[in-house]
Amino acid sequence: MVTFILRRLLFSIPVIVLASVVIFFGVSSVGDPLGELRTRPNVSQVTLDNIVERKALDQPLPAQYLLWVQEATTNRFGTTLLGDRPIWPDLRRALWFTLQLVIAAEVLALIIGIGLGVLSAKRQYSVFDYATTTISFLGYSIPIFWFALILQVIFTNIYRATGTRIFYTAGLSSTNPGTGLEFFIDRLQHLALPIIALAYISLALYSRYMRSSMLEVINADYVRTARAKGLRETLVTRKHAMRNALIPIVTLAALNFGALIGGAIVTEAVFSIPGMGSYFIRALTARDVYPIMAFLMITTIFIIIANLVADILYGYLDPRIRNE
Amino acid sequence: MDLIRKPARWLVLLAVLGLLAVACGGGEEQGADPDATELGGEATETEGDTAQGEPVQGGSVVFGLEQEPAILNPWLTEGNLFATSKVIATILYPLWRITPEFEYEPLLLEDVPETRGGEEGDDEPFTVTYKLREEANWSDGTPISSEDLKFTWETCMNEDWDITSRAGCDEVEEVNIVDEKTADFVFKRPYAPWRELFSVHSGVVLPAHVLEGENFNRIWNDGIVDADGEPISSGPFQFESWEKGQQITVTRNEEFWGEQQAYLDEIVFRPIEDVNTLIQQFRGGEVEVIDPQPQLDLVNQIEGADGLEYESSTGPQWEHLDFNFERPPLDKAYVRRAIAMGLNREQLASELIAPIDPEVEPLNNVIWLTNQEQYQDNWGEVINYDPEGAVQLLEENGCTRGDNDIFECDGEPLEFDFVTTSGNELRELTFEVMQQQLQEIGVQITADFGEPAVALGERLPAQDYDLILFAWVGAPDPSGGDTIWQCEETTGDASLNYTGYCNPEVDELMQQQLETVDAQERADLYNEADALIAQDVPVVPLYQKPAFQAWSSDIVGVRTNSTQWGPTWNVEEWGRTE
Repeated sequence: MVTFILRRLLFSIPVIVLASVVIFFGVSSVGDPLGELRTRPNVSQVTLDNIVERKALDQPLPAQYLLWVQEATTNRFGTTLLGDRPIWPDLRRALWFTLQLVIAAEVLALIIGIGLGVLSAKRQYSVFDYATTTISFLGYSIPIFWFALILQVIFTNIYRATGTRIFYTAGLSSTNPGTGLEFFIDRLQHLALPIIALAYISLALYSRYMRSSMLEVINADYVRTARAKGLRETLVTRKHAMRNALIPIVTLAALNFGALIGGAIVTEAVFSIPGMGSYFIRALTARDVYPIMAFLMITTIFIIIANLVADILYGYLDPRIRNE
Repeated sequence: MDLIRKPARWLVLLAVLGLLAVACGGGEEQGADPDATELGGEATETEGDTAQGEPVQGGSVVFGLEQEPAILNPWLTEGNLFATSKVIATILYPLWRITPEFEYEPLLLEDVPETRGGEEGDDEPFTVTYKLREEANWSDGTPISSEDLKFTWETCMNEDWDITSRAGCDEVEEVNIVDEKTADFVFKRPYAPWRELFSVHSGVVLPAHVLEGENFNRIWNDGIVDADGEPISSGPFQFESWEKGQQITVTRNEEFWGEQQAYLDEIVFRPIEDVNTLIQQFRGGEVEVIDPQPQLDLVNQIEGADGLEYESSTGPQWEHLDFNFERPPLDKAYVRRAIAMGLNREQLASELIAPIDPEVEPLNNVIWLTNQEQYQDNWGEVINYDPEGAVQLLEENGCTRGDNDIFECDGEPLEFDFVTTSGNELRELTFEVMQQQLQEIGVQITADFGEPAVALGERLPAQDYDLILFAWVGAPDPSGGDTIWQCEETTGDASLNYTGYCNPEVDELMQQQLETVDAQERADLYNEADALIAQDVPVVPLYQKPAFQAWSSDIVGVRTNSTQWGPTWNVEEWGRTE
């Protein structure tokens, strides 16, 4: 198992390096990073010259790439183009907020989704199964910005009608959120709606896949054998069927998690969560290549980590894989 | 089959409940909140804002910003957002305040400054004497002095700093200190728009004793503080904290020099970028004062809602349709005039804007706004709605109508690309109405919408459009828009002329006006120029967009200010009634 993990880790390194090359040369090929600044009448030549010097923009691209890698690894991605402000504090804060949101949403979606999938499979063609199917398809096809708005309207109306605040409609915390438990509950109340919005879509996905995966497994010979041996049904489901059915879900969850880290843009915009999505949009609007590249690298690293975890889980779930 | 109907019934019930919850949002008791509109320089107050009782001492208000500032320094390029100035308006003061009636009111100044020199036969250059109020102090007790004025001018001119605009500052030859509170600004030539200098938040007066020797590009990025991180302010509030991505807090400046101390303990600014979210936050009391871009259903959601008030006024942003002179046959005056005559601006205004601002009328002047006393209707006759007249004009000039009912002039069909910003409901509707109206006079327009950064940031300056719809922001002094109407060769880099329009007579008048300090003479020169521009029809002015502000009924003192001074212009008068 250990060698398996080590091998996977080692393999990740060239992937990250390759990704950095693609990101750097890809973003650089879009055009002159100073292009937009040059058109502004008030930005003086002195300012522009300073930037060129700071970022070595007069050097050939490969030299710039090496400089950027150096900045990225030793100086936490360096500074922004115009204001020369450090990138990492803002990026780290955005990452932290997005992680809170995405991890909570994923955990919720996995627990409910897998649960629904298993139960649906066991009770195929029952009322429960049809209900879950409908809800899943609904969740999968609802545009998230619309769903988010509906949630906001519902809970605002509940507040206006009853005066009790269940969930907040945007932001991370109230203006004076207190400390300790009070702070934690306030944060939960704020993140509840975005978590529900994100989770609903992922949950729909997971429950469908889990259901079909379970159905395949449940009708397999070895499961029938296990039952024939006299094992309790719950044990058969949990220890034998589920463990095998979970394998495709692991890939799905890993890819989904990686994608959400950089991609929950609409959810974050609607709920005013200052996370990775809004960080990216802001960097794009400002046409500042350095935060954009830093964002892309972080997202890539997370996707690689997510896949690594998926591989390790595979190894745990399926002994055949870890021995290859 | 029965089993299947049951879950369906549950689902239907769920859906109905959900829809009810949503629908309940609109059907609340009619609070009949009157709206107030400001026109003709008169501000009328809503019943709601002061009638509800006296403000109490203390409390806090949450203000919903449309975006988060990038940095807090209002002088620098990155700090040149309206959102930034809304925060800064509570902390730092310029010399003048611009009132909702579009007037310059002395703020840090003792009185309206005296000017001398610059006239014909004078040997003295044009000089303005600024005298600061005796009682004006910084929050650390240091008097606001003429040294600060000089330092502010020097900072403006300093090439090391990334200043948004040095216009105005670069017209000053030198600054002479007369005494602690008085400074003489000597101009290079008579400069008519001198009042604009240090009148808005991109021109706030700077504390020399705090900023001397500091890196201006950095020191006020994350807070209006001194080198030790202590807040400094000249306004009723001071900087308290900035939790990035979440909120900016300002607290009452206990050492504020003004007669009226702020009632509130603090104001919290929260950035909410999505306007739908902003509305829900406002309805739910999570933010208490907002000034969103008005869209049609916005008013419906707030009107009649218990506990919420709003005010709309005729704002300084004026919408207009521009012609590209480099795209024949738009270089022909009769084509442009015919298109203008084919547009029913009254209809546009009453359908799109009147629901928000009932007093809206078509704009007939491209220099002055309807709320200013210098306003004169120079365009009404030239571009009044007359579709038959438009067709006649085209035919008189040799245009022929093809089989598809579209005119052809000089071999060019009157089919045009209509560029504007996407994601703006009002603009989309404007296009649809215009398309219909122009169809009748044999002109075809096709939609070419794009993101603001592309449509206005790239295509407009590159003159990559046939027709383009957007808005300029007016100001009490119209000189900011001079270069729109001047020939590009005259103004060079500073040019805002994106149509290609060029009339040497207009240029003459613009030059003259810039050096005419007498207000009435200058207004007349401007109107003369405007009448000439009207004859050429380089653009079709439509109307002024409404400014909109809404607040919770628990708050008093809030008043709209549609100028660049914005909604927080009188923040020391804001208070809670409980």
